[in-house]
Amino acid sequence: MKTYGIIARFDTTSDLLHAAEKIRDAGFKDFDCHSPFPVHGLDDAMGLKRTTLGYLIGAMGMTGALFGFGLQTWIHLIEYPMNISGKPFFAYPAYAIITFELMVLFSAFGAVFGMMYYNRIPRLHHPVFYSEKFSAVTSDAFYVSIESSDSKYDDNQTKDFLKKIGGKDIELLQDENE
Amino acid sequence: MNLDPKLYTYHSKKSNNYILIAVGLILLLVAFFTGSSSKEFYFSYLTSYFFWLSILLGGIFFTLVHHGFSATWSTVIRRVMENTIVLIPIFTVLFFPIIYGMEKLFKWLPNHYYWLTHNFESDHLIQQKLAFLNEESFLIRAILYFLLWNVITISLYKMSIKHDETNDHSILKKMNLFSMSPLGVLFFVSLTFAGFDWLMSLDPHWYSTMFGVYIFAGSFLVFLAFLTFTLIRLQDQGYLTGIVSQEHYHDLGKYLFAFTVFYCYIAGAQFYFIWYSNIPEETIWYLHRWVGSWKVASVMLIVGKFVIPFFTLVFRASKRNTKLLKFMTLWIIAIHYLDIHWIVMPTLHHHDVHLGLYDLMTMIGFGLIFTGSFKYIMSKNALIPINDPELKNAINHRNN
Repeated sequence: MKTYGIIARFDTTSDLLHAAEKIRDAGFKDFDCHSPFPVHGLDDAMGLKRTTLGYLIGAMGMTGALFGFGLQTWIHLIEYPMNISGKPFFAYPAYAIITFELMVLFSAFGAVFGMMYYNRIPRLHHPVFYSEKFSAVTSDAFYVSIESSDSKYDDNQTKDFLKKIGGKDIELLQDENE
Repeated sequence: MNLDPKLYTYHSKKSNNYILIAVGLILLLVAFFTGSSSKEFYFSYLTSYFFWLSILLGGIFFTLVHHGFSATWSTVIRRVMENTIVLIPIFTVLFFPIIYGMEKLFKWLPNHYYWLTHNFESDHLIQQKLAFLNEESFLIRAILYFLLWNVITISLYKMSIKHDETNDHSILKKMNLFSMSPLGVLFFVSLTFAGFDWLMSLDPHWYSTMFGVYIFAGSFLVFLAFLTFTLIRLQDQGYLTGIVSQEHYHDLGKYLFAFTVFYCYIAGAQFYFIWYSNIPEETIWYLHRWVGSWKVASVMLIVGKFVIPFFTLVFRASKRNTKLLKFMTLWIIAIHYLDIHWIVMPTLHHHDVHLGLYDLMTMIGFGLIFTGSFKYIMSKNALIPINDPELKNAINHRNN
């Protein structure tokens, strides 16, 4: 049987935060916290770096703006010049709206698909679902999972460590069919 | 929760504040007595007056929003807001020179100097607007605006101070209901019409339905800059340590960023509609601002009020950096003066920017009166609402 990792339950958000801090300080990298709602301060407690998604969105937005402005300039100056209410061909104030809209559209694409890439979705299955009790995380339980891919991971030592920091219902994630 | 009273008791020498106010008043009086016969003085006075007033108008909006939504995070900064807006009575008194110099400012008055050489009756556009733009209704509206603004600011300030003294939480509920009452809507109406009356009607042929929102966007932005700057200054002097944190500056920075974009959106929309439709009496307003050195001022406005703050404040790190915020807030305040100057002055100087002595005197005069009375008001009460039940949560406020 292959072991994917280990999970432990905590009862309150503050327990979860303290546990995350201890796991972080113990040097684990491949671990995650699961809670029914967003917990303030969890990013710091887990030692997560800030996402670079914002820069991706910014770059996409700039691309969109340049594309929108370039598209209109090309149409009105080269491809299909047309006199519209006596305005000059290069009537850049009129380009602002489509430039803006394409900036928003590209930013939104950047945000949605970038978020999916960073979160590694779509993903149809995750080892934590091998646990029956884990489903309580969607209503009233807080779980910590440490994955076996972590270099510091060891079945028994990690189990003892989680017990020491106050974890309950400690379970090894194993695929029974394999 | 126990806070050291030293952190929120502002000390400022009373005599210093009186001197500030007195010097400011003397400056305004000197300017008035030397310039009351020239139109330059009134235009400068109106510019400086509206610049300083707009800080208060933005403040009234933010205070109403804070109480109306029973906001948590802004509880730590709400007293500074209330201390700002309660200066409205002073600005009510300082409005009188504008009434006195009306016929030098507003072309829609039949006794404006322009009509000495031109025929008032033959100006069809102004004739059509006389039902709204006449001396009596102008004065009645001005009285109504100031009545409303005084009622809002003084009531909120008094209730807030009373809550400090009595710790009676029903007062908070009262402030909440007061801010959610139709007074808030009326405030927006008054702000819009004050912008129409005092700034837009300087060029009575011109009109823009966006103008009220434009004034609001500018006012709120400059108030946010003023508020952030004041908080940073207070912390530099050792007040509010551990009470106002980076998290609050981050939120204020978000507001500054958001309303930089909002201002640009409104200013842009106003321009595009006029540019598209190309109607002479509308486009002339922008044409006046696109000749000679006014063109430089217009470009400076676009770059200084949008491009620079946008690309500075867009980053998270810059919203949490008080040194940078201090510079940016001063920048926004300075560029807001250019904005008001750009709205008012082309009516007087058609071809080029003139920064005269009266501009300087009235700006410094108002500034000294504002600073002196603001410091005086701040030293009268605690810098935070000490009994507010949300205070603890507000101090511990976090962004993530």
